[in-house]
Amino acid sequence: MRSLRPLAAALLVTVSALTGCAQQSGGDGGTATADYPSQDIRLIVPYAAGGPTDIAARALGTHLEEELGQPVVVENLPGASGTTAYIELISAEPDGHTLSMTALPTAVLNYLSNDVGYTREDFAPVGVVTQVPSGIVVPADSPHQDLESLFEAARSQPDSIGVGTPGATNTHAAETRRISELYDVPLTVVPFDGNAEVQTALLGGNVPAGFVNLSQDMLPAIEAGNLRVLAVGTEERLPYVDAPTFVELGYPELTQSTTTFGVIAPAETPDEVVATLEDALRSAGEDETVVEALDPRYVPEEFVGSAGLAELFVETEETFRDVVGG
Amino acid sequence: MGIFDGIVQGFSVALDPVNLLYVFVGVLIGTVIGVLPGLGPTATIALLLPLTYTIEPATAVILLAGIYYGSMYGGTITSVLLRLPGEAASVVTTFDGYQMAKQGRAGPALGIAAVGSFVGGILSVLGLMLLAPPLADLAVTFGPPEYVALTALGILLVTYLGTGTPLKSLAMAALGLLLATVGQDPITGTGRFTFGQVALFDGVDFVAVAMGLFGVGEILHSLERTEKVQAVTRGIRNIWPTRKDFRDSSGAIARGSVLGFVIGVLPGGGGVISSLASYALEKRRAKDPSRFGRGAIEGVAGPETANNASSTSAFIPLLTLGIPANVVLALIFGALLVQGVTPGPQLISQEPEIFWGVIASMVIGNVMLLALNIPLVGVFVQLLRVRTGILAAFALVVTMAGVFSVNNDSFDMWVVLVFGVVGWLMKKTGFEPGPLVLAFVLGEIMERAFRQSMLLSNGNLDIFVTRPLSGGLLAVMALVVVASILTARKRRTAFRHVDPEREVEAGAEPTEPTPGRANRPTPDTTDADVPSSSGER
Amino acid sequence: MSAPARERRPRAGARSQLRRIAPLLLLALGVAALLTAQGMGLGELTAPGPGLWPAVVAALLTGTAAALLFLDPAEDYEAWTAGTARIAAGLVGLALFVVLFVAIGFIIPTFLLLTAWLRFFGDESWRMALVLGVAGALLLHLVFVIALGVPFPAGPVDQLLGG
Repeated sequence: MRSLRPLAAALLVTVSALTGCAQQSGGDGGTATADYPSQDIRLIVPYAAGGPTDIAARALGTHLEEELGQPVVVENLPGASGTTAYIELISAEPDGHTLSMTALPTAVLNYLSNDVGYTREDFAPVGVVTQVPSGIVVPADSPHQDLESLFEAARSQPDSIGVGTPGATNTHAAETRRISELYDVPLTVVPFDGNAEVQTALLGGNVPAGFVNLSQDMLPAIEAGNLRVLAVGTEERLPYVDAPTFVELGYPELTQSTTTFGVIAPAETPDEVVATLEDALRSAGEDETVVEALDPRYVPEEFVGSAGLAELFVETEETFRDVVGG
Repeated sequence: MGIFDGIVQGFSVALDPVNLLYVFVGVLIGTVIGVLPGLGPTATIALLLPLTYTIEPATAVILLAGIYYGSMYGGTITSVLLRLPGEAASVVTTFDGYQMAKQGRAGPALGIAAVGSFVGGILSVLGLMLLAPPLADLAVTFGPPEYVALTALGILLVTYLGTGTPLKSLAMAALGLLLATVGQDPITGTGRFTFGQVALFDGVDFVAVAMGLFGVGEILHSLERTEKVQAVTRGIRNIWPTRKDFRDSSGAIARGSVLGFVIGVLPGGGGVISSLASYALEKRRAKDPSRFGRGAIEGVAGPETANNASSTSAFIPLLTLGIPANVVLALIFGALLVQGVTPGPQLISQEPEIFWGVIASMVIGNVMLLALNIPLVGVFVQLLRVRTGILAAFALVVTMAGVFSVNNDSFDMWVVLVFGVVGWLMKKTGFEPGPLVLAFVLGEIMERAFRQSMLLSNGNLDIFVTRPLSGGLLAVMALVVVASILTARKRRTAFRHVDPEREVEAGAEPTEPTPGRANRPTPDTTDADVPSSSGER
Repeated sequence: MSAPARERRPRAGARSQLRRIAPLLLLALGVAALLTAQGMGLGELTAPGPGLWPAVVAALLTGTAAALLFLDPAEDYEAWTAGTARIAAGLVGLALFVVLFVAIGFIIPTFLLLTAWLRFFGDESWRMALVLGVAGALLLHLVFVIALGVPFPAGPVDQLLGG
């Protein structure tokens, strides 16, 4: 052991040196209302460190710390598409000291497709952080210049058009199946593991089209002209993607593919506490550094709070209940 | 920007004092965790990831990359001296490295490994500079059928190149593939073999399985042994290999560099496969394969070169395509995303300071590692003077804490325990964990790619042979299988020679039922050992 | 240079039993998985069901295990020894560690495991084991909890140490 000590110490020193660099100056001088929050706040991230949800949570955590005057501890609890984290959340004391990030519609699709031990009733929504739109993209050398051409090809030769999606149970797969059902366009869902893999398959010409998140990792390829967006799944056109919406093109139903990242608390959390958190979240959308970290393109122009997020949960559940059953 | 400008810019980034400090810290941590059994680069990087969020992106990657290739150097030390791989990629080094140590040649074994790693690392960095863009272009055309062929090739290689009976390796590969199906079906999302456990929805965690099989399994197994395994620390004074050592291993180092580089670029490739492949290549090329497993210096030099070369070239798909080739790079990918940098085709042009800075830092890091490993190897070896009982106890606790911290889930600690028992039983029954772990990693990619191929081709199996790349790969595999059947007898004898302990028994066992066993030919390879054991019949 | 011959050789009886059990276990696992996979639905090649791939893999496992029943070289196997009891004890210790870890946090179970392991399996003196146990538990707490911020379950000692 004696000989082990210097090395262990060296490791420890380097590690603590790193920690020193990494630790932000904690927020003080907050304006705590009533006696909430009275202790550390846990912000659970249902996905692994380094993912988009984690990035959002850490930017948000810093801001909440300043607003609420208590340390916010971001904790990654990845697993089972977020189920592990949600179960942890709803088993915590509903006093606002345990919060979780959430991603819609995955959070809803989880309990629609499997018995995972929670439903939306177990949550008290706090508000929306970011919304990442989705769209149908094809490689630059694809013969399909517009959505109609792609759908026509699928109709004339059923099952010839595979559509790569970032996962099997997420909104994109479900939305693609809805296209087939609602508009009689026989598309084949080809699930990949994440956005990046779909992008590679598209660039390599291995899948004719993709229904993907138009997130930070996809935009560079689109801006460089390697990928072409045929339609976006939002109600209105996006300022940063030059493509029509499904609604414009005559598919008014296809507006459910946007991924919403939000904050939730356990059900039964007192209304005043939720209101405090909601205010803190709203102010995050006005803080430039936070918005910059979240990417301004994805921060909703108008803040969506507790009621709005709750509505979104209900809406998502209604949209996907039938699609998932099969 | 030309390559030359890029290199200049890269060094200006890498020579920045802060970055120099981080390279050093990275390779130091990497070496230490490589030396300590039970804590590999994956767990360490996962642990340190949140700490990198607030430093510059280039610096963060420089640090994490340093840990990764540093661990490739450090892993050698325990493999050679304790026969306990410090991290998975050094498993192969135990075969010959430990034998060399027992012969009092631990010093040259460590020396040649360090030199080989250095050469492999530097050549790989050069390759990274020159070949990254064209290789990226080729790799992007790989579709699901190619992934099926590639993963199948990986599994075939590991069973064929393994150290045990190929049939047993194949059984373990099948077990690994089966294990990979636990959790949600990648295509339909249905839960499989989850027994209603939410913790199993995402499948069994790779880190937990690997740590259980390799780490805890080994520690349990050592409990049973009555004799104490003490680190062989004799003969470490002369680190620098002799001229003959260099002559013997120069070819292995050259081939290991190329092989490691190529395999590192492939998805699912990386340390373990590259070192295994290099070992097999050296053994097949050798005039006298029976030397392998008994302290052949090529058997240390080749794999150690290859695993370091692969740990460098694995950055190619990440930095040019945004595809992490293995678990460690997936973590580094995450670290970059957190910083708002998305690795992908545009990275080289948009964030040249990251691409070239990281590459230049690898040159510096490898020089530092050579310096750390040659003169200072004695310091690291001190770590092993610690009695094995103490080492084992600490390795266990660190393993448990490390596994917990990957997912912050105590369920994974149970997984480690279960696989520790499995690993111990496998040791008792002569099954190898290597094929299981590799098949487990590749299984998920393989199934997904297989089913994607089926979806894209409307269930037509032709898709695998009509595409030139996958067809070609499958043809190579078919050739390997045919060739191996034709040379089966010869190979069977060669396999016996990997593990001398097993070897002795093989000679002693009269009831061996395998056909062809009776007329075991090639006296030049086997007979040397028979006398030592025949008395036991 | 060849390893010393082990004393396990005379126990041929136990060994020959064991070599049947290992492939049999694999065979049982393979067949069970095959049946479960069939229950999940195999689907067709055009639209493979969730059970198709597991079934293929389970069939491979079953096949190799069956072949191993007859073809497995017996010399691969080690005999059971008295040391096996130590392994059982070690496993119980580890299981206890996990249970305690979940209940009362990292530091006390770590101290207990380290001390017990060092004393009983490492043959250290009680004094050495206790000293290393305390020092090790504190050091690891420092590294994992303070430096790396791993959220271990909370325990009674954490307040004292400022976890």
